[in-house]
Amino acid sequence: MTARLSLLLVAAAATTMAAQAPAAPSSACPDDAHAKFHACAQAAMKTFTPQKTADGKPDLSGLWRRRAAAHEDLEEHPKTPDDAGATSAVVDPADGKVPMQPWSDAQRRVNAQKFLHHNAACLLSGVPTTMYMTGLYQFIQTPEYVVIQSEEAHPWRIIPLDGRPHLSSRVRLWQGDSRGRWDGNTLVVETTNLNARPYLDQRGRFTTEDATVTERFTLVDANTMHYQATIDDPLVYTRPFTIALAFRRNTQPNTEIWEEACFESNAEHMEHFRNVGFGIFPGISAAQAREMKRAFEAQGTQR
Amino acid sequence: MTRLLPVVFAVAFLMPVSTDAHHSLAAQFDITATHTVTGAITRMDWRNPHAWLFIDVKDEKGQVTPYEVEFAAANSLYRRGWRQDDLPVGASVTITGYRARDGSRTLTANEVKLPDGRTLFGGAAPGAR
Repeated sequence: MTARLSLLLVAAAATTMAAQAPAAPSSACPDDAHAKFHACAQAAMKTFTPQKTADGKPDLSGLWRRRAAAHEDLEEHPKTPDDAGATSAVVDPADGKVPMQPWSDAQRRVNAQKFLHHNAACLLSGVPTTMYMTGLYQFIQTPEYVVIQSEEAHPWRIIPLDGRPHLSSRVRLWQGDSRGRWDGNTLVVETTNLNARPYLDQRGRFTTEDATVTERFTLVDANTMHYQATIDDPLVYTRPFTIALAFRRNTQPNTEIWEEACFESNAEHMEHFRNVGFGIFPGISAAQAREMKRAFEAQGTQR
Repeated sequence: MTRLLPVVFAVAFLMPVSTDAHHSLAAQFDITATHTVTGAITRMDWRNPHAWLFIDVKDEKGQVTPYEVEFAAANSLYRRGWRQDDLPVGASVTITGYRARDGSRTLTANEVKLPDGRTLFGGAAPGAR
């Protein structure tokens, strides 16, 4: 056993060293601060000529990993034992604040005290949250589709590029219904038909099923991708807002994306959460949002 | 010897590695203090979103208390070099981590040490995947 553990330690040390080594060519844009990356990437993408696919589109295919975190808090938050910490992912408005309505800001604070991120129970993260969870992402690209697989709760997004209309509004999906198109070197994806269940972050921010999410994927250099998502949900936010973050290509040899088979809804250990009063966020529908807003504003009138 | 040793060092000093977890660690665990236990492995469950190690902790009277220890996802452990037969049943490990807020004998592991003091790995539920 000692020999086995020694080997394991050596392997672990080698893994650590490998992780610290520059696995990919450095990027002109620093990617650990969202706003700085966003500004740099906006300039770099104007002059960068990406590698093209056989049908002449920018080739986004490959393995990617998102850089600075946003799933804990879309806004700036410090590194703590509970958080990895990050600068604000919000690039519009320029102050880096999510433009919450008063009622929704109050509600999201209640959410965070009562409800865990749905991913704790193996549920999907939704759009755009699925794009800034943990793990690797694999982009597969054909002339007709872009497919994005990710490891956190093993979701996939199949994005048609043929201009077909969205599904009926009666259909509501965890990952919504996405439609893609090329705008020059940028893949633009519009997602509707969301089910109003996922969190946007662990601070309790959310969207209703009325939300529209517009994402833009643009290569900044051979191994760096700029990602931004504009969230438009007038019931919850005072205006549309945009987050941006960096993806870096994984160029380590023999790396592969793995299915994260989530175990039976994590049911056996959900009791630990329930024992201390936490549940899984049940979501807030548009109808519930209207009622919550009305009640909140009525309380304000009474005050 | 009592194997449960509450540690009350400053959290920031003890825990230089923050989590990048898919949900709040503080919701389930008391992250204001770490605890250390030593016990013998009885089972390892390789699961996502978290792997679980089960150990028996024996006190000075020979009383055995079972503990459950949470780790990162099985995928993450595998990427770090873990394999299923690396921690056989009966092996002794010392684990430092946060205890569950519900009072159960449950820890989330930040560090695992072998009997000779070497650290096998660190990190509780980070997104090092």
